[in-house]
Amino acid sequence: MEERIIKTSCGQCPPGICGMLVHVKDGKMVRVEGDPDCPTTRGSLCPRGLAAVELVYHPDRLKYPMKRTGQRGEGKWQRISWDEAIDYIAENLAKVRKKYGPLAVAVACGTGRPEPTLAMRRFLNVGGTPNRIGYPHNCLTPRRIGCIITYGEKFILPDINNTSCIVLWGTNITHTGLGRGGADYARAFKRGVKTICVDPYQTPLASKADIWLQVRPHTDAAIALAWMNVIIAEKLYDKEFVEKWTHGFDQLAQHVKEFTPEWAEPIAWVPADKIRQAARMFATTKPCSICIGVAVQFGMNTTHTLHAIFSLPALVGSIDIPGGQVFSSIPRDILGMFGSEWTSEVPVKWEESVGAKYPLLILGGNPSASHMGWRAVLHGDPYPIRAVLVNACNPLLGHENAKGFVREALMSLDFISVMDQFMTPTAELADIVLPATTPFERDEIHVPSFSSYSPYIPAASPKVIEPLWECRNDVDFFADVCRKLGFDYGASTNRELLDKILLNARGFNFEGFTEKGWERVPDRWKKYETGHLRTDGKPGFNTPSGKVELYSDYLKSLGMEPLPVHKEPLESPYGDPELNKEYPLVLTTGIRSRVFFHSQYRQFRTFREIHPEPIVRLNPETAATHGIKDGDWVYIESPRGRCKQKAMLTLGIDPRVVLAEHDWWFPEKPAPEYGVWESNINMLTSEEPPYDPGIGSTPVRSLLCKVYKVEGGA
Amino acid sequence: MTQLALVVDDELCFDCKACEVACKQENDVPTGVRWIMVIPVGPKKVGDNLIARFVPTPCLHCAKPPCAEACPVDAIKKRGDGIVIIDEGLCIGCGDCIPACPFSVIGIDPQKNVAQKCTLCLHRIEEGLLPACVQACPSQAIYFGDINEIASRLRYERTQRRK
Repeated sequence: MEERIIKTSCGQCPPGICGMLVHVKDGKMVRVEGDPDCPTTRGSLCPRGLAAVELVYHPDRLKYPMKRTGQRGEGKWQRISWDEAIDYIAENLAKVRKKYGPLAVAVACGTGRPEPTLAMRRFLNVGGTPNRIGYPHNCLTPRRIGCIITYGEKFILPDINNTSCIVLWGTNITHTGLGRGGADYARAFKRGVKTICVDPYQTPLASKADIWLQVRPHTDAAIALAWMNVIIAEKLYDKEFVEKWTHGFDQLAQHVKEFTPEWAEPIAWVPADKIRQAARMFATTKPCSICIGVAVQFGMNTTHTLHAIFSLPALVGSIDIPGGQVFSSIPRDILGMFGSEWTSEVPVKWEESVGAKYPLLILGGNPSASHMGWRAVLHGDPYPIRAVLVNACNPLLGHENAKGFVREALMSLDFISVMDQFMTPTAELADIVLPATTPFERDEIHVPSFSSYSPYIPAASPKVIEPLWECRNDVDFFADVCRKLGFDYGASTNRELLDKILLNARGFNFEGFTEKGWERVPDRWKKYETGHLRTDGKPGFNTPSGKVELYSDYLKSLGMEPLPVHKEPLESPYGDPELNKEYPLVLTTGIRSRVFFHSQYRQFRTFREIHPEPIVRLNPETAATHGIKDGDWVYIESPRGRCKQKAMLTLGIDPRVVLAEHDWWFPEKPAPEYGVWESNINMLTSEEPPYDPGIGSTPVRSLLCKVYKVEGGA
Repeated sequence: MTQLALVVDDELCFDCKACEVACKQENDVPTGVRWIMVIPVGPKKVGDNLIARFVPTPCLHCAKPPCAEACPVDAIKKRGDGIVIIDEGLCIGCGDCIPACPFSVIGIDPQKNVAQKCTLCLHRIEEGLLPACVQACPSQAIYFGDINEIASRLRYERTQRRK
C-alpha cells in the first residue's frame, strides 16, 4: 500500500499547536516530521514530537483493561474486558456515592491535555462533585489568577514574534514548549531580540540572554518590586497609560519607594546594579513583554509575586500593542469551542470543593489542589473522598510528600482506577487499570498556547491510525461510566462530542474543521480602547475599577495586601536560621528535561540514551565542601526524607543552591515499585501548610536540604 | 569544488536535542551510537560572565577524511559532492576509523558489526529533502548545503544579529 501523509498536530503535551505530518503505511505510523505550514513551529518538532512512533508502538504500552487480583500494590493482575471493567468501576462508584455522597468521588488529572480535561469535567459536573485533584495551586492556574486580579482577563500573553525585549521569568521555553513560545522565541533570538532571563540556574536560554538575573528561589517578588522602584523613581513609566488606564498608581509609587535594588540584593542574591540595569532595559526597549513560567508560582507568596510581575508591562504601557503583553484576539464565541459550554451545561458547585477555602483558586477555575484532595482522602478533611479515577496522572511522582502522604492516601482509598498509556507506580496501586490511546489514535481539538500570544484559533488534530489493542480515549471511557451510573453525559463518543461542540460554536463538524487547516483571526490591538474586553462593551478592563489594578481592592477584600509584597519563604536561610544549620543548602526542584515530560517517557530508549539518570546540579565549590565529584551518586535530604540523584557539577548554579530533577522512576526496574522511592524528589517536599493564602500554593521549589555522597555508589 | 556538509551556528543552539532525536528516528540509529550529538562547552567564567555554548556535532565530511585513510579495506570514500560515506557492504567492523576521527562521530552498530556515521541523510537529500536534523531544529541552527555558500550566509546573519 502507498505511504500516505496525514496532517495533524502533536498533542503530547498541553496546549500549544505543533503541526505534524505523519507518514502512514498499511495502517501503521512509519515516521513523523514537522509541518512546514504550521504557523508556530514551521516544520520543526521537539524530541517528544519526533519520538511519536516510539511512543505509539512501544512494547510496554498498556494493551488491555486489567483487574487487581492480589493485595493492593502487590502487582498481581488479571486481564478483563472493557465491559467488565466499566461494570466494576460503576458498581464501586455507586457504592461510595451511596455511603458517602457524590463528593466522595473525585478525579485525578495530570497536566491537562485537552481531551482528558474536557472528558472528566463533564463527568464531575453531572456526578455532582467539583473535585478534580491536580496541580492548580502551582501550575497554570495561578497565572490565570494573577492575570484576572490585575487585568480582569484569564490571559495576557507576550507577543514574542513582534517584541523587542522579552523577559523570560522562571521559564525555559526552548526546552519545554515548542508550540508554547519556544519556537517563537528561537526565531526572535535569531533576529536579535533583547532578552532578560530570571532563573536560579544558567539554562542554555539564560546563557544567551543579554541579562541573566540569578535569583534565589521564590524571591521573584523582590526583583519585581525593585524593578517598579527603578521604573517609577527614574520616571521610565508610561505617564499617559498609567494615568488613563491604571488604578492605584500613586499608592504603588509610595509603596515601592523603599524597595530599591539595594533592598532586593541581599534578599534575591542578585547584585543591585544588575537589577537596575535589567529594569532599565525592560522599561526603555519598546515594545517589551514578559513570559512567565511555572517556576515563580511554587511558594507561599505566589499571589503577590504574580501581581507584581503582571503589573510591570502596564507600568511601561506595553499593553495590547504589537510586541507587547497582549490579550487574545480570538472572539469569545470561538474560544467557547474548547468545550466549556458543554461541561458547564450542568453547573459546578465550587463552594462544595475541597479547596473552597481558597477563593482565588475558584477564580482560576479549579480549586482541588493535590494536598487538599489527598487530605480529604486520608483524613476526611473537610469531608471524605473515597474513590478516585486517575486519568493521565502519576501522583506518586508528581505530588507533594509522595511517600508519607500521597501513597498513604492512595492505599487507604475504597476504589482507584487508573487510565494511562503505560503501567506506572501509581497504576500499580489501582483496582482497575485501563489502556489509554495516544493523541495519534484519537481526534482532538488543540488550543493555542497559554504562554505566548498566537492569533491562530484552535486547530483540529485528527487521528492518524485506529486505536491499537484495546486502547480507548478518555471521553469514551467517561461516557460509558456515566451511562452505567445513569448520568447524562451528553455524548456517547469522543467524535460525537467534538462534532457537537464544533457545530454549536462554528456551524461545522470535526471533518469540516479538519479541512479548514490553520485559521488566523485578525489581530486586534488596544482592545481596552475599543470596548472588546469588557462584557458591557465599554472601553476599559474587566476589573472592578475598569482599569489595570496595580492596587487590588479585591485582594484587600480577601484580607490580603492590596499591593504586592515580598514574603520570605518559611523554610529558607532567613526564614528558619535554626533549621538552616542542619540543612545548609537551598533546594530547588523541577528543572525540565529536554526529552521527558514530567514522569512520562522514561521507557524510551532514545530518551534514556540522552538522559539516562536523574541529575542534581551542584556548584563545584559546594561539591568540594562535601567531598562530591562529578558523576557521584548523592543523597539529597530534607527534614522529610531523602532521595539520590547523580551529581553534575556546574558553575551555572549558586554555591548555596542545589537543583534537583523531579518525577524520576525507572520502568526497567522491578514492578510494582519501579524504583519509585529511589530518586523521587517529592519524598522531600511537604504537603503541610502554610500555603499561599489565596491560591494554596506549596513551596516545593524553595526548601532547605543537605547533600552527601552515597557510600559505595548507587 | 562542491563540498556538501552540515554547518552549525552554535550561537543559535539551545541544546534541546531535537537534532539528536530526529536523527535517531530517521536513520534508526542503535543505542550507543550517535550520528549527531550536542556537545556542551562551559559554563566557564570569563571576566564577570559565565559563558556557555552548545555545539551540535555531526560528521564534518572532512576535506581529507582521516577515517578513510585509517580504513584497511577502503570502505570509507569521499564522493564528488564532498559527502564521506561508509560502505556497509565493505566494512569489516574493525573499528580503526573510530580513533582516527578527530570529532568522535563514528560508532559501531553492535547488531550489524559495521561502522556508522552521519550520511547527511543521503536518502533524503537525493529526494530534494533536508537532512532530518536540519528540518527538526527549532532554532534553524543547522545549515545544509555547500559550505562556501553557507559560510557567507552565516557570517551575514551573525552581523545582523549583533547590530
